[in-house]
Amino acid sequence: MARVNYDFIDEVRQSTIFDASACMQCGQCTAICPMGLELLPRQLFLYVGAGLEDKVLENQETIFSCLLCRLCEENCPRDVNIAEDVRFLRNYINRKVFKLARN
Amino acid sequence: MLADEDGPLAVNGRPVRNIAYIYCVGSRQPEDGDIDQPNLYCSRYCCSAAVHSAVEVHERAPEIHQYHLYRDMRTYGKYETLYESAAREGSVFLRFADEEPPEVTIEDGRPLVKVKGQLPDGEELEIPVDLVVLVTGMVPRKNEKLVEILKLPAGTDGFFNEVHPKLRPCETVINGVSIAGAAQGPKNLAESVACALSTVAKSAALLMKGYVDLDPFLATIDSDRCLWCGECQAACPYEAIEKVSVEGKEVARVLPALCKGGGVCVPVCPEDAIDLTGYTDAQVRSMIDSLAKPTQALVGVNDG
Repeated sequence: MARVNYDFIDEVRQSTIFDASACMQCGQCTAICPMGLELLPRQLFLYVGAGLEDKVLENQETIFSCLLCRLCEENCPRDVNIAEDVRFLRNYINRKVFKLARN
Repeated sequence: MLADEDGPLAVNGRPVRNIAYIYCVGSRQPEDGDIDQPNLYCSRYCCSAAVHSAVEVHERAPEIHQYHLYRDMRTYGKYETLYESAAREGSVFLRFADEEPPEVTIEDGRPLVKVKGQLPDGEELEIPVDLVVLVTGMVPRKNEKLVEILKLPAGTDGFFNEVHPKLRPCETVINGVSIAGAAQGPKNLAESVACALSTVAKSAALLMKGYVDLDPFLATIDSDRCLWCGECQAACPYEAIEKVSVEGKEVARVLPALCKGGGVCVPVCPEDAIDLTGYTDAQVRSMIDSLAKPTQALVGVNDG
């Protein structure tokens, strides 16, 4: 059972960095990822879009194991800035979980 | 609600902060499901209409969160741009499986929508909202009387049928009766207007000609044989047969303007007094004869 967290959505919206609204869940990123991440970018973005903060926090391991190689970004048919979005999520986790200040 | 003058969106005086749209409510349902009189068809226009209102909501109040729970998204043609802008503006689109529709319950006096939004781990999603929008399909109006008077052909879904969806898309099998817009099936405004214009063009062509060509295949009645029993009048679905008096004898007469050459009257006549032009008994009999005529066996080519 995963409950929608509207505050999380608002915080993501305010950032102006995270933008996966163009993602159409095609799975190109999934196919091309050299890490074979447990939770693939598109699925991660689905969680963020739907406002499931718990799910995002559960998957810290995945978010931090991304190489930021941008292979997915290069091949994204919708030009989603995947690496930038992943970095935003790392930043978010740093602040929320590890209580690190911004920057 | 959107049509109301300015001010924040509200339902029963309560402000709306979160909206869930549930698509295909009552549409594309199995015939044997637990819904009374389900729509078996897709109404086409509802996805675009719902997505359009989501875009308008966003224009009015960008802070509102909108969840779209759909089975299949059909914002066909140029309406794709509506979907695009709704998604860009933060509407969340989640697909649910046919057999697992969302559930709406009430929690603390507010609707709570539960749905298996096809998340990666198949988990159920809980969305507390202020407003649930059920996106329902278009259904035909109850028109029994009109159908009866004009003898219009209606499909199993209750909408009127055209002669041919591509070749004669706005005419019915009844000459002079055309259909347009949502009488024919679910249509949005633009489609209805296009359909109406085509119907007008067809009607104008009919009127400007100044006269009507009748079908050549009509029933003809032999007044000498007819004894007026009324069988043919009862059988005719177009009410094209009337009783007249010829030289003091009551006989049936065909009204050429109404007769469609259906031929229902021919076999019911006990006196064999009715024939169909182009398909007279003599013609059909001679066709059968020539078909049944024994032909000379061909000398086999391979026999040699």
